[in-house]
Amino acid sequence: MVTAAPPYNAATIAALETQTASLLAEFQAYGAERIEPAIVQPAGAFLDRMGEELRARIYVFAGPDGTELCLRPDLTILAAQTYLVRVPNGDRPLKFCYAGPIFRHDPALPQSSGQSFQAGVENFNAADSAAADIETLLLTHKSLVRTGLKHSEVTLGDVGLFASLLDALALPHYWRVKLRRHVWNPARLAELLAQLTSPAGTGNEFLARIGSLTPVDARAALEAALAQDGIKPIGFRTLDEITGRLLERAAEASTSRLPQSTAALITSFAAVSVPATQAIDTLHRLTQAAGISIDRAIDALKKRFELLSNSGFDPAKAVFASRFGRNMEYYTGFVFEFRSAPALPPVAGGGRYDNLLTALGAAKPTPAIGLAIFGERLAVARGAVA
Amino acid sequence: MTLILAIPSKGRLQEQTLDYLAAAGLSMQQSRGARDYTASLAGVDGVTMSLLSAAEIADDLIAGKIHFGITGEDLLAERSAGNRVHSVERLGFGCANVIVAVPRAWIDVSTMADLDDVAASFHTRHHRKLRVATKYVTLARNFFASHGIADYRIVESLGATEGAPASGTAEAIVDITTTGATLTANDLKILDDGVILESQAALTASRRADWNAQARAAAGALLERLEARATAKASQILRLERNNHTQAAIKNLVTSYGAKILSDPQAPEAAILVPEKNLTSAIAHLRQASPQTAIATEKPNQVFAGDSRFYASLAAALA
Repeated sequence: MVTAAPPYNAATIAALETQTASLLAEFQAYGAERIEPAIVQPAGAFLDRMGEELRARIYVFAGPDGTELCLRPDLTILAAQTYLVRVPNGDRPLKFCYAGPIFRHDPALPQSSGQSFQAGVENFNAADSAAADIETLLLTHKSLVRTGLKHSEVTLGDVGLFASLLDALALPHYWRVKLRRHVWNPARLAELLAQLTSPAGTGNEFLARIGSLTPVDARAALEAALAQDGIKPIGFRTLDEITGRLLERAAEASTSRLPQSTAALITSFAAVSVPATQAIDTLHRLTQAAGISIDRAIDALKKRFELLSNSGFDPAKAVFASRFGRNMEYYTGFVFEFRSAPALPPVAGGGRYDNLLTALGAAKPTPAIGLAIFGERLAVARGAVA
Repeated sequence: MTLILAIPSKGRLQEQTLDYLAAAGLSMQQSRGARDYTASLAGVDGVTMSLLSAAEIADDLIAGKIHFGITGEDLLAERSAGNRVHSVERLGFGCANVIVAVPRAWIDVSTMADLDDVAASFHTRHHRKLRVATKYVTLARNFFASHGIADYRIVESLGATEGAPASGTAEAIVDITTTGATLTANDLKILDDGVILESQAALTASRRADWNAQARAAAGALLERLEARATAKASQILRLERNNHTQAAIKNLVTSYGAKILSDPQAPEAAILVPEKNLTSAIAHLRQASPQTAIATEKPNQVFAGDSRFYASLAAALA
């Protein structure tokens, strides 16, 4: 679909430029260094990090030498790459800020322009994660206020909490990874929990035959079965991997099923959505009733809430939702989002993404947190443009 | 401006398309020989035929450059044609399924849920995402998303996709298949719930084309001919003697079996048009009323029933 450029008139452009200038002034006062990554970028890093579904929303094209390029759909990954170039050994903190267009197509809105202004800050390797998280949230709020936004509401989440819950439940590894993968989609989570609580299927006959064998014997049995059926093993997935998964499946078939009470706990945990002031009590009550402890993870969240209320920001305005943030690409911990009104899309969002730099090739784990402000939405919410 | 009907420019799909038109009494006239890429259609006035690749036909339908096109539903679905086009008639040829296939050696994988597990562990183990080779990028992406699979990469493949797993350029494929023989020959198998689309050739209208009065008039005439053939294919004619025993039963066929009387009400022989799907029960009904009366069936070539179903649904889609 061909999309038209945004129909910006002189007044709109001026409003957006004034807004951008005041956001950048706030970011630079915070100590963030301005960067301006190129608009045309290799597509691979984005598709690898953000998933194949992103392909539906970004503009991919072939470069003169056939490489897959795209118009930058995001600036966080580019800021992270800039950090890796500037601080290759990852031995010091650095904050970047940016402001400029990003390019994403919304398949639900085929008439949308496919480009929008975004301004943001990325904070790499800050020593105190809790402090950096709250600083970033407060910086977002302060920046929104500085542009003239009168009213905003914030939603908070913590992507790490659910992982801690699954660890504490001592589930088999393969259940844990599967639940983590699908928790953000309520329908799929319900489907998966139903599957894990119902009696195990018998599996195929081959599974029954090799279930009790050692890995070496199971692999030999697999090779013999393939040879007998004239099937050639092809591709990079090895016979050991196939054997490994067959044995895992056989073990799963003989494992006792997920107790209904555990499934109910996971469902209620994922459904928590309460005023932030009640979040810690609610999470404690749920886990205590189930006889498990994820106090370390809850305490980490509690510390952030305390920092927030000490800063003078009123947490009564904030809502905590445990599912919030899990479907948001690369986030790993504390996440937040500001809206000017509940029914409108967010004007700003941000969160912690501690694994991204390692995935991009960092020599050592590098914690990171960032914020992004959505230019056009903010301008509309402020009443600066129609 | 005349009405443009695009048909495939070569191959089996073109042969079957020309057979389909011929059965409706329509034939392509290429004035400058077989190398010409436009032609006229003998049998209906005001129609220009355009010979294009099946993929171009799909593109041009979506863009509104042609009014009608005969092409594969898979090509339209891959372009998310959605309500930019209107399907007039599914033609029953060019049948093929778009499917997800994995190596047969993966005996632990038979469903999309299995593939989801394997994709996640493949990433962990090989430090790269599982690759899916396909030319159906959109269909593959939407289908994988509907099964909650995110940990994979698409590798665009423009030919011989089924060879990708053996040559090591992908782990799995999304491709089109008719019998599955090519898949088996390449040591691949279709996942149990891996059928993305059951596709066939279809006569499709563009909702974005210039549907001026002239184009609409030509479309009405063309669709009347095509509908006459489609109705004939779905009908049989029953012939039998009209007498005291059969008279009431013949009336029942009209009220309860979707039949139409072709003969004069006073004529001693009744000719009745019956939908193919009701044929067996209609004959049973007549035989019950009059076991001694002989009944003959006959396949019509064209049935002009005066319904204008095709044109009415097109007009509604264009409204």
